[in-house]
Amino acid sequence: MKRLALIAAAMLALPLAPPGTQAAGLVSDISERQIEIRYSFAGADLLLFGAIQAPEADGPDAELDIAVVVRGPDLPTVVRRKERVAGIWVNTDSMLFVNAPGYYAVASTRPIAELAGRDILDANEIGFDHLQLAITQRATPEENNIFREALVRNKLRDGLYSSSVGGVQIRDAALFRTDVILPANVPVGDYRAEVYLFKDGALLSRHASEINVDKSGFERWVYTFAQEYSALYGLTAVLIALISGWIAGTVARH
Amino acid sequence: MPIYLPIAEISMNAFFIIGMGATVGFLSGMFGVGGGFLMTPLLIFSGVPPAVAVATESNEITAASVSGALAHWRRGGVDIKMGTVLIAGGAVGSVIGAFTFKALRAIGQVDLIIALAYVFFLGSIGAIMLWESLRSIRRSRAVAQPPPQKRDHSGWIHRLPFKMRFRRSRLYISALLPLAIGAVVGFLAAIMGVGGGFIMVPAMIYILGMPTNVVVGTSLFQIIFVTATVTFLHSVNTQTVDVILAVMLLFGAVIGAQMGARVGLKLKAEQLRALLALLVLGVCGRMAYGLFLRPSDIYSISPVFG
Repeated sequence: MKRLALIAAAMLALPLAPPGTQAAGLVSDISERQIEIRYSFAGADLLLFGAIQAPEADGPDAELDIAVVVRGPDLPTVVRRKERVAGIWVNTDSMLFVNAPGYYAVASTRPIAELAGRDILDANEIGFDHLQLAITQRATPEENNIFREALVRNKLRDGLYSSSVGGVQIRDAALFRTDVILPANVPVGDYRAEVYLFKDGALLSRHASEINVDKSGFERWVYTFAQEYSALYGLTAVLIALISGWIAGTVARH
Repeated sequence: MPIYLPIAEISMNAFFIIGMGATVGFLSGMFGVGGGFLMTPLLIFSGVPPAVAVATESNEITAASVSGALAHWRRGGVDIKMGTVLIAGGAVGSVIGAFTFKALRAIGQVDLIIALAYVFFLGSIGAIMLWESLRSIRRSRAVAQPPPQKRDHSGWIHRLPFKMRFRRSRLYISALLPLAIGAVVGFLAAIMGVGGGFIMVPAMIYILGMPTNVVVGTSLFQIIFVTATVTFLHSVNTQTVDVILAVMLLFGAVIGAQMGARVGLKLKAEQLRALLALLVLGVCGRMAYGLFLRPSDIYSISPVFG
């Protein structure tokens, strides 16, 4: 119901779009901009929706495409490779990616390679193949690629990366929507949702919105306490254990 | 009912966590063991990062040992002096262990070392226990029962310096021995997320020669302090102690232990030991399986740990 209401709101916003004298543009919004991780947090499903302004500006036959990229904070991430050593599997080689996005979801109306040329996709980091993932060590391009693919594969498995062709639907050549799924293990930080409008391989317009994911309430307090005042946290943990152990022992005796 | 664990950074079912605590509590109540060697692997198998599992379990063991040690204390089953010497050794061992743990985590080898330590210790102790209990089951069925032999200290132990008198244990031995045993157990506690009772108790009986009525109480007494030290060190070094997870596990464990203790009274000691040995070997086997099996993806990712 909430989603329907949001789409209705977007529809109402349409007539406000500037008259069709200029090139097609974009407006978009997200159902939630502040995601709070509380004790019951098991992930969040967001709806990103919007409207294409003046879709006929470039002629009625214009083929419009949309790509939506939601990305979380960049985090240094190590990819490790296991090898069999004396019968058991042991981590051996590793590669450090200094700025891998902690979360990256891309949804598009068509396969990404058909949206635009490589330079445009690279510049905007649309699609896994076009992410700028810097490494610090010396590595052959083949090795770099193997580890890069492993990074994406692991993130996909954790639900932190996703790619969905056809994940954006355009209705009546004007309205579009896509679902953004944040799993329970999303990293906290500032997220950015970017919508790109393409026409015949050219980037016409883009629109960005911010999302913030943060632990809140008691969970945030515990996490911050553990990170910032770790010695005091350790002492508190021990104290809690001593007291609850004593209570348990006393209760058990009766 | 899913609950988000702020340090483990995963969402888990609250009843599942309490149920795990209760199951392990039941087994530890029944067999009279700490249960860390069961809980830590269980946490790892259910998706808790190994480093968080180890550190959090130390925290839970502190609590569980307090209630156990209190019971032994009331009936005079704690040798404070021996416990203190063991703790002194344990402090040194756990500091070395906690820093080793941190260094291993930074180079991505901590999961492997945890698994290897489990396979080695559970494998050898499980095998010895099984062999011994089977032997005593067979012996109890035989008509003539030979009297249990009193073990004497071998010569080299008596020649060690720094001798100390431990009245409650009725021992006059070198302080170096309990110091060394304490250090080894403290090291293992920090790496494996266990109390170390499974090493401490046999070491007290067979190496130190302590009378059995003070062994368990003294072992629990020193475990409180060593796991408290380990909890503190892991909190400072790696921020991996999840208090919420620990308290929920403890809640389940307290209930489970009461029920387990009642069931345990109905079984014979050597049957209990044979069952425990099988359980220990089962956990060992599961850990070993994970080491030898080709992982579904030989590449893995992790954040950068300083």
